[in-house]
Amino acid sequence: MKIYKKLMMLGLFAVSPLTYAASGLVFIHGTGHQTDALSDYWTREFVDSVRQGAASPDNYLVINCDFDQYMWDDAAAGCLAGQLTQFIESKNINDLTLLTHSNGGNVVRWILSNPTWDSRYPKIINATSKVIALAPSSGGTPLADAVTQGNVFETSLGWLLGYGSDAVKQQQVSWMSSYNNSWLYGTSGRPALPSPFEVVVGSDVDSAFWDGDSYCAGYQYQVALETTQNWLDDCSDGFLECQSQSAAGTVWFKDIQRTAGKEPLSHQQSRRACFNLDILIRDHI
Amino acid sequence: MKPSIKMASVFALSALLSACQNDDSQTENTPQASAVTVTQVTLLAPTSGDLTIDTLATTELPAVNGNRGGVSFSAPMGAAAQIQAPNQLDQSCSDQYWRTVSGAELNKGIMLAVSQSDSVIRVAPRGDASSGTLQHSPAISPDQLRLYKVDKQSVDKSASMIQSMSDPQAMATAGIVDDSSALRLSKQATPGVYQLQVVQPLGANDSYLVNVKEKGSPYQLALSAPNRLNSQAPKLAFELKLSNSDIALSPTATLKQSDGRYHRLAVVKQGDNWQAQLPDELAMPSSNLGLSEIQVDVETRVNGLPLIRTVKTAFKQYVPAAKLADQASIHWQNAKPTQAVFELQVASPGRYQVSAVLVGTDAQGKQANILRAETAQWLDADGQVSLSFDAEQLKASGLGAPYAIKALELKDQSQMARLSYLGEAASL
Repeated sequence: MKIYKKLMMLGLFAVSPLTYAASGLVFIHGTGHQTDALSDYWTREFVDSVRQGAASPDNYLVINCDFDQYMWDDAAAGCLAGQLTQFIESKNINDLTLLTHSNGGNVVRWILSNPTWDSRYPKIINATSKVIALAPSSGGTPLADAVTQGNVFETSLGWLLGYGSDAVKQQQVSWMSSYNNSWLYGTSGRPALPSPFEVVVGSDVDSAFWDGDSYCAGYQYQVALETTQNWLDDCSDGFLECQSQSAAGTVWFKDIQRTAGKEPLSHQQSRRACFNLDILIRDHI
Repeated sequence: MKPSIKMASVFALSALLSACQNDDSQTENTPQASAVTVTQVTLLAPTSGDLTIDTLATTELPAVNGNRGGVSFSAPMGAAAQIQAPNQLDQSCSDQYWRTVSGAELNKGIMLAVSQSDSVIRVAPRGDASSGTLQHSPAISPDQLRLYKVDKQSVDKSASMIQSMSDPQAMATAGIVDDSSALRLSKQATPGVYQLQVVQPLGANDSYLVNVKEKGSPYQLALSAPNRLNSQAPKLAFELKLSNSDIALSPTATLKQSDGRYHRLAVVKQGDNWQAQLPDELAMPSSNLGLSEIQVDVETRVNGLPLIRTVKTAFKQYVPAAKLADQASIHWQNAKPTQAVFELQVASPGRYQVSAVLVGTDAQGKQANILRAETAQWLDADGQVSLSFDAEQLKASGLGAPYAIKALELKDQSQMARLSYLGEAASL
């Protein structure tokens, strides 16, 4: 009997999830319908560099979902929840770090803020230890408002013509204000998120043609982002105002505080190995 | 590894080792669980900042969340975390305006009010279905646009007042993906009226959005309006203010619903504020997705110069489909609350979510948060929704009686609408 008890306990311990509990790192893209986000959104260089800082560098996942939809949509948060749940269960993850860019931060905040929306959400919330949000569009962007301005046919035809998406509509400033007030946690005056939501803020765009730094992630983006800064505050990454990026969670750092050469990170550069961003994240996770 | 997992691992190892070392049977002294008792509480009366439902109404719109399965969740809460009532107003500021014009108008030249030299003008093609078929107006290359100053009704065509241009491809790479072109006014441009004209004629029925953005302008139009609107409300009240000006405004307003329909709204002044009369027909959107918007346009003159502004803000139009009864049942065990059961009156089937914060009292007699509990389930008719208070989280808080329920909120996940909120809900 005594031997039986010992064997039973040994057996229980051997199959206990604690034995295999592991950490995991997930890369979550921004607006867009991704099928190969590793190549098309993040780049292998960035992902491989960042994951070297993880406790288990091979326990990583790059999400591919349709983030052109509203954040709560089955194709957006539902798809993300499905891929995260499968990752958590297959690897026995109990220490999950989520790395998001832009609107990906909103989709993650949706899941963390609405545990009873979907039966898969509680498991994800309980497994998530930290979110690192690169340039999250937490407060929306006036550029989304600009795209959706229009006449009576704008919505019914504009979307058909490819002018925008539900994700763009959602990221209008007043729409995000409404969602932050009712459905999302982490902004001022609202309940805190269940896990730290650490934000990297991009504060400016450099597009001087003689400056090699302007070419990281593509010079043409830098030039265009300077044009769109006319719709934004002086402190912006060309797509999002600093105020929007820092509206939820806590600011881990503003680009120039830590980047190599104190270079600002434009919205394109904040998901690339520009100015040591990859190493900063690697050393932090 | 999380500290809790480390501790659990150590505990598991210790248990295993002690089991290996100690062959003696252990006597378990499990305390006898006390019986569950149930008490009734009457919810406290709403106060300022609370949201209430008075009269129920039905809705038949498709549910955003049609999930029938019930889900409950409980999470510990920072003892001193502030609980704030939800905002009821949304504010928006604008230093820009936009209007829709036809190809014929752009061929002839349209007049634009500009209040500062470094303004930006964006021209974006829009769709048109007035002919019965979908027409996609072509993008306009910025080099096809001319901008001339208008002086005393005459157009000065001696110089185009454009400093720089961005084409649709450049704009798209930066997030404006609607085939927009943008012009930046010359630094020599002075405030006043300008004529925008195309060189290559456009189709007369083509449709374009013209957006004049005056970043940093001292003339900002600020709009403040409710961020939620009951389907039974006949009016929408709003505040409007133009900075650096005390000129009386004559706004026009448009309701843009989440399904894309527009309604021109009648606007009347009520003291210092405004009221927009909502249309009797088609007052509600045909979908629960998205938000409705009120757009306000103002055309005026400041210091003798024309000034135009458009501002908008979003709100949720909702049907008051359910409400909480004014009593709740509190279940107790070992003198601690284990759950709160609420009765819901339901006018339309839907997925209803109830959440609340449980607070307790510390040794100094001060109230502090314990946990936030939440549950959601589908109800076809009147029914009960139960919030469970996690015993471990309650114990870990170190707090005791008296307890209270705060921030009691009812949401309709089917409509994606907050229906009611009670800051101080009940003393237990």
